[in-house]
Amino acid sequence: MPNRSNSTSPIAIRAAHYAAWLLACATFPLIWMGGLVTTYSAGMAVPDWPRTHGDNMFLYPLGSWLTVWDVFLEHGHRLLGSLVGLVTIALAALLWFRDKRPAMWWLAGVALVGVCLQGVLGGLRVVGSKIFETEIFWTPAPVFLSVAAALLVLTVQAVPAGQSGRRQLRVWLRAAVVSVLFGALAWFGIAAVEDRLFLAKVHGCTAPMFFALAASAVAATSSRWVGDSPPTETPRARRIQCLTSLGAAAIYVQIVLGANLRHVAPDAAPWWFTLWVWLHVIVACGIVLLIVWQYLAARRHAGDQPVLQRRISLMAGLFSLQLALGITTWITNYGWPLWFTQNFVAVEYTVVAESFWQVLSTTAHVGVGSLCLATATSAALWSKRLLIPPSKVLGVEKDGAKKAQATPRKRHRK
Amino acid sequence: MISSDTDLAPGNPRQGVRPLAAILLIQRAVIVVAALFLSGCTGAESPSFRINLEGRHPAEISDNQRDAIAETMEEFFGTPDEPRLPDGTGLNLKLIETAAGPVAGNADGTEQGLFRQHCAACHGITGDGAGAMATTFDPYPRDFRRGTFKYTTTRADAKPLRSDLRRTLLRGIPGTGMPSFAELPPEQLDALVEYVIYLSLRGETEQYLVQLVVDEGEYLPLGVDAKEMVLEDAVLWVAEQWAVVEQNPQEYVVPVPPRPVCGSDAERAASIARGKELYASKDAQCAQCHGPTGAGDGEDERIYDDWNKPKKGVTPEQTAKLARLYTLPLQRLRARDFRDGAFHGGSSPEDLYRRIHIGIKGTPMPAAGPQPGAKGVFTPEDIWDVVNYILSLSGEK
Amino acid sequence: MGNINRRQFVAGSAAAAGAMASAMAMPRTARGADDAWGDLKGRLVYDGEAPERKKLVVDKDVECCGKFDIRDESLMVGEDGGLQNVYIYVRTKDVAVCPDLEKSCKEQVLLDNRDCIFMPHCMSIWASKQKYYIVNSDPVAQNVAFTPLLDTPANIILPVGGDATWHFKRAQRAPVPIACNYHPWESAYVLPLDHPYVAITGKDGSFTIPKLPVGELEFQIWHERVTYLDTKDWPKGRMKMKLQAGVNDLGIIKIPPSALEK
Repeated sequence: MPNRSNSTSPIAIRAAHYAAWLLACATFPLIWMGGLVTTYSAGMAVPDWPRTHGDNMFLYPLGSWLTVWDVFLEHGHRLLGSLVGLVTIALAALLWFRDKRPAMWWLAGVALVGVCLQGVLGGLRVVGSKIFETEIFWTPAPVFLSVAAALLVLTVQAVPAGQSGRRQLRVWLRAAVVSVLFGALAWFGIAAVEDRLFLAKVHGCTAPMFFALAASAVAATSSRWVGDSPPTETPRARRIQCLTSLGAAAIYVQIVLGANLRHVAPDAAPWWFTLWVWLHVIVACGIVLLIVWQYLAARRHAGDQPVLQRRISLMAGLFSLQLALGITTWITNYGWPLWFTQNFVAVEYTVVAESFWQVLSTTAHVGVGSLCLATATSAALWSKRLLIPPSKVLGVEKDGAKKAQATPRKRHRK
Repeated sequence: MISSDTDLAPGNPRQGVRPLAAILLIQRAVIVVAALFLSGCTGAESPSFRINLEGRHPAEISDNQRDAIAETMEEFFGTPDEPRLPDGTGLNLKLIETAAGPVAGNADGTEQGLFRQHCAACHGITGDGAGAMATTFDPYPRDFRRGTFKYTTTRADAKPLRSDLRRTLLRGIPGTGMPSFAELPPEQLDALVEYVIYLSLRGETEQYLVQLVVDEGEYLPLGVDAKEMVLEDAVLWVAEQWAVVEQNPQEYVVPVPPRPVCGSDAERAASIARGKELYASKDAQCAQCHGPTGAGDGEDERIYDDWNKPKKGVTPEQTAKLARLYTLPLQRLRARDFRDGAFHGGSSPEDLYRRIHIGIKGTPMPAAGPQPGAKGVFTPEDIWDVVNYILSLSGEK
Repeated sequence: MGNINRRQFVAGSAAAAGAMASAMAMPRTARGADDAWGDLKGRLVYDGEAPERKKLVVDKDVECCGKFDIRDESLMVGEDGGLQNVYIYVRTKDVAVCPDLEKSCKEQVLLDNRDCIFMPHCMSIWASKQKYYIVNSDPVAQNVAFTPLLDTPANIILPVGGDATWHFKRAQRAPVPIACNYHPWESAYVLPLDHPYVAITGKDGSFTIPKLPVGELEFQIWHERVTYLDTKDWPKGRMKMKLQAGVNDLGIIKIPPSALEK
């Protein structure tokens, strides 16, 4: 049972902070490798899982691994994934036993479940339904997963006896919602086990989310977060928080759209890809607007929170890079668009399949995309930590009447 | 322990943490939403070939007819995962099997499913030029089912050589979305070429079969005699067209005479002037499409290749009606603007010679050089003069 | 009649034997053209008011082509209601061909570019025996383009006074449309077959297919407006009949206007 004292030891948090950084630094190259696997269509270079061409994954001969490019990518990706799993376990342990904040326990739990899920998704993407020899195995799995998730939440958010029934009810409600979400996810995953393309897309969409989770852990274990630095009161707090959250969500939507552009079904209808391209471009324009808005709002209303401003500036820089990479990805994969060559500059350019620049821009676009999401999540979290609307502060410090008015809102936020 | 009311004082680290939980919850919810989002985009594990009923009203085709066509085609050619070939076609089934099927790799580095990996996203699993990415491109990816290929070294009335298709794979087509596959190992290129010919053979057979079953309303189920007729009249006939060119290249490949060397600038200028005159001559009608100055702005503003011509009606209403009978919308052909210097079939003088002599199969660009049965409008010397003129427009020599 | 001496008897017997032997060795077909072959004839009549032929848009080479009254040829009805340009041909595979027709078949079939249109509008050709001879009688360059199914496509430039010869490598199941890339209003049809049993109705709608083999035959009827002409007597544009020796007259076949509307 974790120590439930009121203080949080800075040394313990620092260890978790380093572990979180390690996790983020290990996950980033993993995402790049995953991107390379898709760019080179090496997803099926190793047709079995968790074994590699019949051998134990960790005992596959070095010579065989390093000499065949596709196998190097796919097997290397799996090995790096295992490493990330180990680091996640370390981080989870540190958070569970050292951090006093229940939300961090929850984060640890989710991270652990997440990395296992990613591993299993990756494996299923390769072997599909073959892993389940009988139907009986996977039919109760959603139920199993839902119950497990609910138990996890209840453990983490345990309400001791004597606390108000309303609080208990809220915890149960939270447990129920999470279990339903996990159950639905598990059911979907299992229903889609036959469909490798779908699994490849989900695997590619869960990876950036995990990376964002690692970035969240980095933020929430940092000394500035845990320390006593006061948040800025600003009437625009909610707006900035909303913008940053929306920015993170929009970048995630962009990643999902991107996954659909990368994983195209061989027999999809001809207008399919064009549709996703248009959506990808439109959402990119939306994100540009959001970032500009965030930047201006943070500069004007949160001028004394350089941490937040730096995050937003970093996100702006990364997204500009991402836009440039998007353009080079398009040109190296599909050539210069006709409207450009007809009306502006006639470029005689031949697309070269699997050329260095094509591979680099495409995979970098995937990697930097995840980095954008991580930065956006970090900005969103910091905006919640560092900014506060003025009225809440007043409610606590001023006379009792205001306090009574403010209290129900506080209760609700538990 | 869990927060009490006093813990809401500013600076309390827990203040930011509760929203953290909310954010994480939202992010988890987004997974599920994303899963739902993506659920409409699943691809069948084993895709199947699409039946070529283009240009025909779907309502006029019965399920029986569709089934008969699909069944006969599968009997002859198998599926995208398991290809088959009737005896006597002369194609290499081993190479086709390497290119067919889902993408997979072996421990020794050899690969399977090459067509699906490199080609199907644009050319479609059926080779109909209507893959998922087709509408992104202008011009559309090639529809192999007509058996016509634009950039070849063979006569206007002959099928291409395998080396012609291989050259297109190696070189790509500059100015379009067709990549160069020079980075692939040679055995993979051979497999892809063989698979393209397989799809082309399959496509032409299917055209014949659809004409028989749908247009003529052949009695169903198709008997052994009818299938035998399809095999001989279509499959083996078309395979023979490919084979005869491969076996007699000296007869079918258009010889390119050596380019006359222009010793001096004056000679070159004279050749270019002659070329310009020939270009503008009424006999050749080059300016009709390519414009008087070779800027691609000829009188014929809207020209169409053989893949798009059937989609064009006499009036816009007719065209709109026809559009519903075809997979891809109508797309106009752009007569080359010579000033750009970007030629799809290759920019070397020999490539241009061939384009003028042979024409571009499947497009209004006709064969201007002599061929069996027709004198054409240009002699080989004329063609070189025209080539010099065209190259001069883009500043090339 | 007197005494026939031995020499005369032997000569006569030899002659008789020779005649019998040669008579038996001769193919039955040549023995009597009348009982082995029959003709099919008839007349197609448009059972309605002849529609007016639309004037086509002539927007290229107007100096030369603008002076002609170029009209739509897709539905041509004669003065007495005769339906023109309908193909009637034998569908039966490997039909026996009368040697007389083989001998008398012309070496080539002509397609002329004249008055800025193709002439004739509809024609047929015996693919293995005849050449397709294309000439340009117009004072402007012409182009002939067609894509027969499974056969090589043609895209031939004809300079002024130029000509070309094309070979069809195989028969087709339906007529092949011919177009001109320079003059989009021009159109024609050619039907390559591997036998000579095809007729195209003339100005009065009548047709005759001579020297068809007697017996069970299947015919197809085709018009460019609707392809296979689906009528009561010709479901899906096909008809099976037992051809007799001599003339088989189908009489007047009335085609309602609805049968020619797609």
